[in-house]
Amino acid sequence: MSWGAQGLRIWLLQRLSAAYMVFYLLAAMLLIYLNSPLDYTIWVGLFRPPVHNIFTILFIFLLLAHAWVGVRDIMLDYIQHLPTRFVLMVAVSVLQVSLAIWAFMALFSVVQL
Amino acid sequence: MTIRQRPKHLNLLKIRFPVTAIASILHRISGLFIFFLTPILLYLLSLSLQGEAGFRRAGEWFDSVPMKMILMLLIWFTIHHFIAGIRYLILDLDIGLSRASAKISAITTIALAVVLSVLSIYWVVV
Repeated sequence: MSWGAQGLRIWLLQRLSAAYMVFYLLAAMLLIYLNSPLDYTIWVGLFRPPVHNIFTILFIFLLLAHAWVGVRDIMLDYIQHLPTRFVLMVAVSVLQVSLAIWAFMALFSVVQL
Repeated sequence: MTIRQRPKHLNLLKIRFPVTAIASILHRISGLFIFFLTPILLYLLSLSLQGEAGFRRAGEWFDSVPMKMILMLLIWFTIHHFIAGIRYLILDLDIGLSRASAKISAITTIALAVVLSVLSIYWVVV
C-alpha cells in the first residue's frame, strides 16, 4: 500500500520539500516583483536560464511529491475501505507522475543556454 | 477493569473540534485544495510560456471574479499551510506539546495566517 514510502524517509521528504518550496516561492516572488510589470518576453525570460529552469522543474516535482504524501496521509486516516483506498492511491500516483512529465516538457521547451 | 470503547477511526461528523483541531483540519483542507488546483495552475503556466497569445489568455483567466476568489483562497491556504507546517516542525521537536501551549500556537497560526493573507491579497489582487 505504501510502496516502502513510510517512516523517517517520508517525514524527511515532506520537511525538505517544504523548505525548498518556501525558498523557491520567496525567490520567485522577488524576481517577479523586480521585473513587473510583466509582459510575455520578460515572463518567459525568467524561465530561460538553465538554473532558473531546473529550480522551477525541481519545485514542481517536489510540490507533486509533497502533495502525494499529504493525500496519502489523508486517505490513510479517512478511507477505511482498502480496495477504494488502493484504487484512489494508484489514480493519484498516475496523476502526479503525468503532471510531472507534462510540467517538465512545458518548462524544458523554453530553456536557453 | 473496564476499557472504554474508543472510536475506531476519525469520523469527522462525530469528533469535537477544539481550536487545535481547526488549525489541523485547515492544514489538511488547504493542502487538498492546492493539490486539486495544481493541474489548473500547471496548465496556466504552460499556456503562459507558449507565446504572446497564450500569455494573454492565461492572464485573462485571472480577470474573472470566481478565479479571483480562488486566487485569494489559494493565497490564504498557502500561507496557512506554511505557518501550520512550521508549527508541526516545532511540535516534532517536542516543543509546545502541552495542551495550553498547543492551544496558543494553534490560535497564533490561524490568526497570523489570516493577517498575512489579508495583507498579501491587498498587495496582489487589489
